Amino acid sequence: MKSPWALPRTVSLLVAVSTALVVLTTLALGIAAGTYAARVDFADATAIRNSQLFPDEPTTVRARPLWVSADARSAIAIVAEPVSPTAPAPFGLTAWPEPGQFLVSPDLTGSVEELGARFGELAGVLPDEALPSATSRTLLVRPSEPLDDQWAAAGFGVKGPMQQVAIQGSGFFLDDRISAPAAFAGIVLAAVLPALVLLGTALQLAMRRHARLNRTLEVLGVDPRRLHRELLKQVLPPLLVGGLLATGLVLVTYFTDITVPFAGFTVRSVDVQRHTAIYAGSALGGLLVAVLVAFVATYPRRLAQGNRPRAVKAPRSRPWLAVVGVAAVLVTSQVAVAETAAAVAAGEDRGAVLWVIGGSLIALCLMPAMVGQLMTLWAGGITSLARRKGSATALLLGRGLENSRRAAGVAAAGAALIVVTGLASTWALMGAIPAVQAQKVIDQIDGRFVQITPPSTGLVGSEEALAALPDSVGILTLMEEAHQLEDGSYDFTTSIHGSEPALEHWGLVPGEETPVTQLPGMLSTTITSGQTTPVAINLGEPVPADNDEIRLAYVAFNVDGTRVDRDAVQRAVAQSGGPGWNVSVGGENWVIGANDLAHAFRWIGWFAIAGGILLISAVWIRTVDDQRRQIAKALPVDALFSSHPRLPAILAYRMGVIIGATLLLGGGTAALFARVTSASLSTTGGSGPVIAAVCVMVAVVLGAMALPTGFALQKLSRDWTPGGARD
Amino acid sequence: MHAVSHSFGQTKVLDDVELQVGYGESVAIMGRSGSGKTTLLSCLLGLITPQVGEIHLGATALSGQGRRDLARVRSETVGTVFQHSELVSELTAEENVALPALMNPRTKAGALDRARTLLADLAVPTQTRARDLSGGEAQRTALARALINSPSILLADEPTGALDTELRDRASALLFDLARINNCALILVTHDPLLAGRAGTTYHLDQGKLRPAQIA
Repeated sequence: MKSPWALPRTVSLLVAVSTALVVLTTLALGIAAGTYAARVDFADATAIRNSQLFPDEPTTVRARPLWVSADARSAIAIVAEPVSPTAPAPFGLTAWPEPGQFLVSPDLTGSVEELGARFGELAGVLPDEALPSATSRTLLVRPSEPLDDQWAAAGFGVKGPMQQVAIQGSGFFLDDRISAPAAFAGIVLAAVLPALVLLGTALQLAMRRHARLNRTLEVLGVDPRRLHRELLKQVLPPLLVGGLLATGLVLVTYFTDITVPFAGFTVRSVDVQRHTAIYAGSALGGLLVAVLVAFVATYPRRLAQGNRPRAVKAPRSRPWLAVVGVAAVLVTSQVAVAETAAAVAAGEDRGAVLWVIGGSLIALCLMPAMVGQLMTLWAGGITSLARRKGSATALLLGRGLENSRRAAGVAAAGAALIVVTGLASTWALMGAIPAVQAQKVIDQIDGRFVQITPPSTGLVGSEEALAALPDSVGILTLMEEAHQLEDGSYDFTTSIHGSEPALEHWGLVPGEETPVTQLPGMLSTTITSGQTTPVAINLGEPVPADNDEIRLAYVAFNVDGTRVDRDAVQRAVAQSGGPGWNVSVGGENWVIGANDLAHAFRWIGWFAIAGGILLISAVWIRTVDDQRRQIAKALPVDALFSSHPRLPAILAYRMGVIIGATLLLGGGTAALFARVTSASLSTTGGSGPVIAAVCVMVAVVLGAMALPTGFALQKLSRDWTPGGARD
Repeated sequence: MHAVSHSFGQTKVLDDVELQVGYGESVAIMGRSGSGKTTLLSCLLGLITPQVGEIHLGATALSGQGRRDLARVRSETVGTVFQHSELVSELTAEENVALPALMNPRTKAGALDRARTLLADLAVPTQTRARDLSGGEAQRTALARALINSPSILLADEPTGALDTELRDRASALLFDLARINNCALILVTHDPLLAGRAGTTYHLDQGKLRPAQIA
């Protein structure tokens, strides 16, 4: 006997595909966790020879990690040397590089020239499998001269800094810019939840076909658990097929590297082999979640405790919830905009992103209530207009919308899609805000000076390092001294020292004091620590006391006013003073930070697109289902009583109302929050264009529903006979 | 059914209703549309829990029973005939009749044989799919399905509402005959005075009150 609960092939396929997507998205969580574990392992492996942590072990290495820039993004250089000829080479190397040589991770092979200016000659590429990920940005440098005891630590350094070394370099949605909890939450929100929504929609579609049969059989005395078992029997095979196919991907990754498209990231088989439990566990966990969702979704709904008239109102009819939603969106978006504007003005980092995320989440939770209320109001308006004008089409449209949870569901899902995408793009673009400030600074500096930072405090090695610079380069010395105040905090004073021509070049008068903000030519950008006291201008070299609280930095410039060759200055000071000497353009660190952030945040865009596709698929399924039901209801009236076909118009207007509610609430909410990345704040033009594109996409997709609906309508019109339509 | 009252919002649909039907007896409940007939039937089936009063099906009190227990009580005690037969269009008549029995371990054995016998008695082609049955055949199939688990109570909601006069007469005769032969308590809800006239007792439900009625 053929099971009356048998699923049509398309529905089975939908269940299989959506289950596969649930498993793949949870596998994404596993990849993130695996990458993180790889970094921790890397840190542990390199820190194990640390003499401070393991004093009984003989020290074999002296090293110091350095934060460096390469191609306007950050990287970590581990400057290390063996202390005995038998010291094993690190990072899986068979031998140490020669003094003055360095090795780079594969991601840094394009920056060899820039890095060579500071670290010497390239000796090769670090073995891929020794690094925590294929996109790690790490160098191993063996200095040409023995390392200073004061500067380098015994071993590879304490574990703390090494953790930073390990985390450096972009991983799978994990970076030193995105914490592990934030990354996991992001993947769950942007990918796992949309995949579950799609699976839930597919299961709902499957169950709706049998709702009437289930009700009838339960009234006839069939145990609901027995019905549940029958339903599960139909759903589980496609669910397991989809789930196991996706889980099989773990097997593939065990043997082969797989590159994530459009993300510049490779899931390496070596990582899967090292952390098989994490990868397999996440995939099986996803399958388990899918089975649990199916178990819950297939339980037959309780028989209604009601009859005509209905005892309770439809749950979506809660106007106060809609009002709370609208108020929350208006208030939180306004606060976010004000916070961002204040942050940009003050050059500070404030919590505007929390207002954007919090407000968007509130909007998402209350979206069904807002959409339901809006559609109830519209439907009421259409119905009352129809009754006044005597329009049958409008009457059928209005009444059809009044009680349609499905239509409200379609609009709520579409609006949620726009808000999620808008949130992701807004969040991602907020990272670009500091880049605007940094770019302004760089434009103003225009390469007329570079800042030279020595590796340690005091004047150690300065004379030798600076002597290597050509005569055409002038030097100013910045001396920053910290004074501890009574309340325990520190105050900083800075003085500028230089020869007479050097001071004259900058228009500085010896013996005077100048407010930081009035220093010429953006010199103020090199003076940090938020100093407010005036800067003393002194003639001659500084003679600082032997005090660790005193820091020195140098400003190098061409005496003829031309641009400074940064790499040439770097090469000169590094060759004479060692790799610890760093040369940078003022404000450059902001750009590097913004670039790192943008690189890390590419995952937000990636997951926003993936989540968007999943949600739009769910919207599509709901829309087709809604249209099918609407046809079944209105077709008999149309076929029997209408002088001309009204159904196409009803369906078109209905879709128009749904699209309108979707765009008004989804687009409106996203646009309100997107103001924090408006063109005035961001070089990218803000997230407005992104949201506009998503709105157009959603409207087009919903509008395109007319196509399958049109075909279905033609077929139904042909086949319809009185008594044929049941629902 | 003892002192049963139930309201939907401000509307009192059942007001202190008393109803007792013995095995082998038949009762018809009439009333205007919206008078609460279907609500009364839903209470008897345990689909609606009345706000006041008690309902017993045989020795079993419905109040306080869980969803599964109610389903078991219906399976063992009650046979139900719906107005629109509610058959599964893809299944044959025989499969439709056997389906509720097949889904219960206690009644599973020989379900298809019993369905075949019942359908043969009611002159319904056993292997015809439900979607190809005529209106009368479909309703007789629904009647056979109601009897598949040998219920002691037969509930029917407008069982002949969708049939023509000739079919209505044949179906109603069949319904009463089967109830009598199987010693079932028959409770039917109908607008049809002719159908109600066949019942031993007829009640009229109006403004929540259930009162004995005379059929002209």
